[in-house]
Amino acid sequence: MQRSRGERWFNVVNMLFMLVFAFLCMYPFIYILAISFNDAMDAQKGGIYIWPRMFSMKNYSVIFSDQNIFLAYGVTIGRVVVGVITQVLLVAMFAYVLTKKNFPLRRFLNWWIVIPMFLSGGLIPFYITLQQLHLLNSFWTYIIPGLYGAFNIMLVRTFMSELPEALEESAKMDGASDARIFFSIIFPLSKPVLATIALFVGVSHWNDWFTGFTFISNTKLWTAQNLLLFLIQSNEASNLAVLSKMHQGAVTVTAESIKMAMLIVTTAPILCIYPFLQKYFVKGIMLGSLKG
Amino acid sequence: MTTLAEAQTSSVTNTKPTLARRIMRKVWEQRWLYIFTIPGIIFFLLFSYYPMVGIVIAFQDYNPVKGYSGSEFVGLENFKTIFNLPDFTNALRNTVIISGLKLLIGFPATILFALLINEIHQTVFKRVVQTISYLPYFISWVIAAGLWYKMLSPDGGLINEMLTRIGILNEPFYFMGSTQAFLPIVIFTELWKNIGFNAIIYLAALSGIDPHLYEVSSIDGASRIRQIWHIALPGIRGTMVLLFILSASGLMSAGFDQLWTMGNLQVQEVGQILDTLILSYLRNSGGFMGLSLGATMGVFQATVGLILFLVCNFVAKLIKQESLI
Repeated sequence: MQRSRGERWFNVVNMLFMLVFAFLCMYPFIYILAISFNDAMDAQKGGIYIWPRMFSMKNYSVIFSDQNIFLAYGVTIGRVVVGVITQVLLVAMFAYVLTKKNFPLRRFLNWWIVIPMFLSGGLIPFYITLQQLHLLNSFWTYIIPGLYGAFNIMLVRTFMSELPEALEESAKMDGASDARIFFSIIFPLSKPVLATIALFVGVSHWNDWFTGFTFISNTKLWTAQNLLLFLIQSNEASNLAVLSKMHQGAVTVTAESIKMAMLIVTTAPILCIYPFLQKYFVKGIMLGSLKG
Repeated sequence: MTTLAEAQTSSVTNTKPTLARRIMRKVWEQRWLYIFTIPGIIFFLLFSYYPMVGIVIAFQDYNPVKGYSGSEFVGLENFKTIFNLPDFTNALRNTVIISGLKLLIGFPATILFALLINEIHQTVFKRVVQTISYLPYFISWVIAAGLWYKMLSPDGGLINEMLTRIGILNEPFYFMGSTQAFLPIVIFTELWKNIGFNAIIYLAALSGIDPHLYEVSSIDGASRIRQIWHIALPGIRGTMVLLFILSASGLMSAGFDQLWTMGNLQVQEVGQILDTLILSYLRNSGGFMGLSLGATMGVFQATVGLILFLVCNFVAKLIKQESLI
């Protein structure tokens, strides 16, 4: 096809713009990564942009030798694993029932999950509820109030309702119970959508700082995000207090360098699974937008 | 198991089982369906519906010791109180300003971004750019705030280093503590984090446009810009209207996570929004008064939000778009 000069210019400018944009999206991560692998004292002089000048693992060794950070990582991984397994199972079971046209509670259940998407009691009544249920300040605070997600139920319901009915019919003829049909036919067949919501749930558990911040005062139960937020928001003095506890010895790390390393350590798992993540998220958002 | 036995005997001995028995049998046949959903019913009851009961404290002088039923009702007193609180009116104004700006700037910017990406025909380049563009979407605002705090830090941050080096600034400037710089930073970081991901829906709509339209128009000699204007934009009009309405109905939420993690005392005047104010009422409520007032603000926010949503949905129906529900 023939292309005019204006058109070529348009392409060049557009691609340049996109390059700049992509660079901008990535650059803050690169910058922080470079600083976190640089000697802390040296980093204070500035001038590190893409690559560490005085390579050092000190920041990371301080982080990984700190008990609180280790604990926070453990809590985070624990909540991701428990949260994903429970939600995927419960959401799949609930969604399966919603596909049963002859189930008398179907309409009721559909409304039951839709109404809370539009009405809510707000933060303070929710807090009071957790208090009354004795769900403040425990590991289960991370899990139980997040067992179900209405949006995820709808996503899985849509997927399951498109599975061929014949499969279920023949199992029914053979005398299989609903539970059997669910566990041996529907659940395995729904793997693609369940993988999608597993990633949704996993990422939101990993990224959630609000639950720990608002409903948990015991710092031993903090997640990595909570610790990071504390490091970022607390002033210099309390930073140094944390630091000195972390590192009794000569000062070779600074509050800044610790923050940078902590940022990387908290981001790294997301970046590692990013290739899957973006693929499944895009699929999920498409499913949601088509049916939602 | 007794129910099963009963059900079976009833069907054998009685030719006409009673209604109750028929229901029992039906329930028994579908027992697994009940078992599968009961946890969910209880879950939403406890964590979605029961907290709605707590809305009463907006009309009470709530005392946790006395509970919902024992606390004294004060009518609309709390609503009068919050509208006389400078903190509240300030947060309300900031909420509207911040989410309004995000909508006014973010909405066209996202469309423009999607249109430009759509114009790239080198598949690999396009995919790489797109994949990178949603990277920031997947990190939490805690991390995003941490990154930008460091980038903008007056103490060896990259931006300050650059600006002082090329002589625009004489000395490092504390961007995050400046009431003038804070809003632009909030808008910018919001775009940085979400534009790539938000563009996905538009890109999907753009890919649904009939390629013949492009071919025919280029035979007619239409330029790329004209094609964007006359083919691409009308092709995604439905999506645009829908998304605009959806975001317009979120006017009462200006981005809690972002404002809490990036906000600080110096910029409270412009950075305090309703959500962050309510959270600080919960965290610092020395007296019980704070709980009632915080809940009142929540009720106000939710009510306006719901009305906005209903109005927007109605408007959407009027312009013959599908209902949002």
